[in-house]
Amino acid sequence: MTTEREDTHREQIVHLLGQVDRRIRRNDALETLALGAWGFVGLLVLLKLTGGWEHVSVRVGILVAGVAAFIGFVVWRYQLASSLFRSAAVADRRADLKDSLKSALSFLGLAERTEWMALQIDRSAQAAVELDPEDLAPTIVPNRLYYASGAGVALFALLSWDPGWLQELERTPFLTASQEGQVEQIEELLDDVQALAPEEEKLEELSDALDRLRRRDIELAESLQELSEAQEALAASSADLERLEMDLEQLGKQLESAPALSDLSDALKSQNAAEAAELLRELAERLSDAETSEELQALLDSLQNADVQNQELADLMENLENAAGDMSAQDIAQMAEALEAMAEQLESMGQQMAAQQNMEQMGEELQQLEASLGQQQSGEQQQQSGEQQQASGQAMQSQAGMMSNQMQMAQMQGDPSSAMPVDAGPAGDTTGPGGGGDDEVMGEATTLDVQLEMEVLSPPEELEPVPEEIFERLSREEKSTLNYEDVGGRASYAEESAMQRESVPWQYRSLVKRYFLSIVTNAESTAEP
Amino acid sequence: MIAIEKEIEQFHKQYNAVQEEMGRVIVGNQEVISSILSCLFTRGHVLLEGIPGLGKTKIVQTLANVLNLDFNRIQFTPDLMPGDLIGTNVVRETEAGEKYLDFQHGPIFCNLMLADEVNRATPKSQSALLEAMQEKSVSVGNITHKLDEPFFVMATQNPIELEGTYPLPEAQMDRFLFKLKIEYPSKDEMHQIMDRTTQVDEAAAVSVLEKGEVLQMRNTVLAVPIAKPVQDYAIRLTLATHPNSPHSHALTNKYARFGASPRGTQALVLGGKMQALLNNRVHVSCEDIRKVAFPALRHRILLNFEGEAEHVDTDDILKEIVADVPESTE
Repeated sequence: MTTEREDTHREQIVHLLGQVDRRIRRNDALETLALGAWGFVGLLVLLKLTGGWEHVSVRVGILVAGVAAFIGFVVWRYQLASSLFRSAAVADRRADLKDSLKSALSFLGLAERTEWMALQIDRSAQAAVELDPEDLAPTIVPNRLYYASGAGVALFALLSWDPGWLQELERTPFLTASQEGQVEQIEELLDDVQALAPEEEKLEELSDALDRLRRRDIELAESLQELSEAQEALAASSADLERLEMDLEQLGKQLESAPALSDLSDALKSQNAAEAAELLRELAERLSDAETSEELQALLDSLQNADVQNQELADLMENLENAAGDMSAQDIAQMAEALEAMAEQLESMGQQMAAQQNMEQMGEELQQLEASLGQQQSGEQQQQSGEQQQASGQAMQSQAGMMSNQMQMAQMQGDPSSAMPVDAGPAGDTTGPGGGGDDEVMGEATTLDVQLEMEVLSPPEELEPVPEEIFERLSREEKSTLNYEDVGGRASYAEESAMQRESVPWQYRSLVKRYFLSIVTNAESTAEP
Repeated sequence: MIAIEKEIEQFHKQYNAVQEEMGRVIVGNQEVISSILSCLFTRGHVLLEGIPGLGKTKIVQTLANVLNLDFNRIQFTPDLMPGDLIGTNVVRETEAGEKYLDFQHGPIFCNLMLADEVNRATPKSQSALLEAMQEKSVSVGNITHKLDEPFFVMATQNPIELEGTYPLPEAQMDRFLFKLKIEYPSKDEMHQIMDRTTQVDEAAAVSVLEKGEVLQMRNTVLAVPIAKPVQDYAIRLTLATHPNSPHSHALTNKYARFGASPRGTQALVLGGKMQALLNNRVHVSCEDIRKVAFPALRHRILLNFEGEAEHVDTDDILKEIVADVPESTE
């Protein structure tokens, strides 16, 4: 009976503690996972922001490391032994059971138990039945999980963010509407040329330069340089085109002598390579006719006399001359193949000509765009220099103003060393207005005499006073507004003597007296003559 | 189990009766009274420390009255000899004229002994208490005399007077289960003290507990079980007071010369059992251990020179230890 009861108590306690343990482990796992996710996603965001995300190896490495860490974490958590004592401690603390469950669990592990221990287990089991595991160990979603989610959203936004609208905003003030139209036209031409001559490297570079110009990844000066290089490359291609056209025209003229090949001659003269190729194919089909062989003979004669500069055309004609030998050997089939090859070559040349024409047009467009951008750049430079000049002008004005203020202040304070003209320029600027460029610049005084000499005020010029001036000067003198009061007259003898106290020490009085007496005597003696 | 419940109930009843009766005489100091009773019911001894006039002796005298046990008060003085404490052999003569040695029991042969101002006696006399307190016996010559149970020593000492005093040796200090500090009473308590002690009829306590009941209550306390994790906590607390050990606390390493002995852990566990019973529990909790940590360990930590120089209080060290030692190591 007692054993059954103990077993029931054990089950009740262990069941509760098991549930609490699971919840604690779940919370721990969530906490650790949240920490890991927070760090992992944060690292990804950091990589994305710093540009490390662009490297595929880094991306793959981090993802693999993250997955490996997650698997390792799961294995580690799985292998962790559950601790009912820990959950008992948590439950005791949460339910304020004063270590009741912990003690009961400990007593349950003993082989022999006293009645006191049995009583304790009984009490703990009763408490365990009334407890809710969710209250003891509630599910806690760690804050880090929210942070990790936020970082994940930020990462998703960064990955799916198309900054085109921003670039659009940035580009608007960079290119004018007409420039934008020119760029679009060049891009259209570029697409056509790339379709006809996809292997041109210069075209790729030009396309890249235009893209950068649109995205404003390139400065105006740099874009001008890029466009200039592209234009030079296109100009070189145009030279090839001119040579090719000349060759075809010459070939057409050579064929004028054969009336049967007048159509072919016209087509070549008008640089219509497609039509010429078609005519050559027709010629190849009619090789068995006698009339045709005459036409062919005429063609071969003409070609032998033709002086072509285009290498491809020259090769073609050499093949044709070889085929002529076949014709003499009545090898019509080989001749037909040679004509067919020539027709294909002409078609290819036609395409090349079309591409070169587009390139030529594109070069013109580029020239216009370059000129436009050049004007824009010079305008910006002028504006910048204007602003700088304006700023420096303002600085000079303010400096001059400060100087004049200082000088006025100095004049008011009677400082002769600062007595400069009010409209003097900035210090050290002897070329400025009123700067006294020709004035003597004096350094600091080196001796006391010189210093004193500089401080001596030049006496005012003594002019012969004019009676009118004397009169006016006297009339300008104002009468004092203070009432004169004879203070000394009202003072007592003691006050008066106090006011007239002799400041010369008595032992020097006779000396001073003798000095002044001697001065007076000398002055009288000099004045008498 | 019902018997145990009844035993606990009886314990509470008797304990409350003692406390209530003491409360009629002693004003305040409830913690001190509770700790003294803890020592009494856990077979320990108590050392009371406080300045003169705070009622140390009064508390012990009242307890003796309440418990109806043999009580002796010994005023420790510098000229007190061990024989004055434990007794001596006296030459007697039979009716036949034969002489024999008869052991004259000293005042130590009692149930409650108040060693008043214990630090005024010489170490020689203080040491006379060692065997009695630990072994509950006294050896005179080649004869060992067992002391009657319960044997409970309550010693008082004055911390402020140094002249003419002999600090208790460490071995002696270790034998006290608790060292209690008696603080000044509050203003209201002072009013009550005045009301009770300055009138014609002074309050007096009556006996509410017999010797047998005390022994039964002792057994009840000792029967309270303690779980291994809680006991482990008590041990870790004790080990934290040991300087330069794997479990030692930083403050201990800095200021302590010696830590608490296993007697300190015993004091923690026994005090914890008493606290558990008082809280109507049949198991000891970590909180019970913490509650008795200060009186149980404060006199077992010996300060080093640095600690003495900086006037470090062992209570401050214990405060940090209690705060820092975790309940569980998992």
